Amino acid sequence: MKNNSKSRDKILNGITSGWVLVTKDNKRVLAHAKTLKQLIKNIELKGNPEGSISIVPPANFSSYVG
Amino acid sequence: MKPITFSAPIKVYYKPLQNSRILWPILDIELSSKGTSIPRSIDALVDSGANLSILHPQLAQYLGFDLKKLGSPKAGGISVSGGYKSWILPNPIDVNIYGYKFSFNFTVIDNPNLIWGCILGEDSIFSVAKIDFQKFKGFFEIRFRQDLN
Repeated sequence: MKNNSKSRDKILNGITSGWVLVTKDNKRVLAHAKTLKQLIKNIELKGNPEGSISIVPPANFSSYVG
Repeated sequence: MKPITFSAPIKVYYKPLQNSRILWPILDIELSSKGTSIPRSIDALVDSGANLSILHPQLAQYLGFDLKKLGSPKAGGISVSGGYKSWILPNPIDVNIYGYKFSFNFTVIDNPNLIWGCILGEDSIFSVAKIDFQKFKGFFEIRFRQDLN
């Protein structure tokens, strides 16, 4: 499970919120939508590409404590 | 007490997230419940500081949980930023972590702006595995208990 990815801020390409499907190597956003349900529909419309789903976090995430 | 044996270690590299260079301990997990599954893996934060394991409301709803039917979310949850309201899901959810399968209980926080789809806490991943965090090397290792199931 090696992480050969570049920082996601370079791959988001202007996406600032919602849900995304990202390639397993973290190099490309394959699908994006405001809601999970719509993302899953978009994944189907794009031919079911492989990837992992995550939420686009706020712009400044570096000071997170949880 | 019988000694517990563990699986061979699975090495997982920390992942960066958007808008930050910070690396996070994240697992790609598969979620399903009663025949409904999320069709792709989900990024789940591994959080030893979380007593409970958390699921985003939209994930819970997609898996078939009707949050309105669960009643009003209950107050009393405590986080570093204050209190929260939540639902405890009535049924465990099936979780597949790199081929290891479990059923975990999840709490859904009443906040549509949650920044994590899933958080695995002390009551889930830390109960079924030994985890060795080596952030300084850029990875963590999971060894699953072999005395379960």
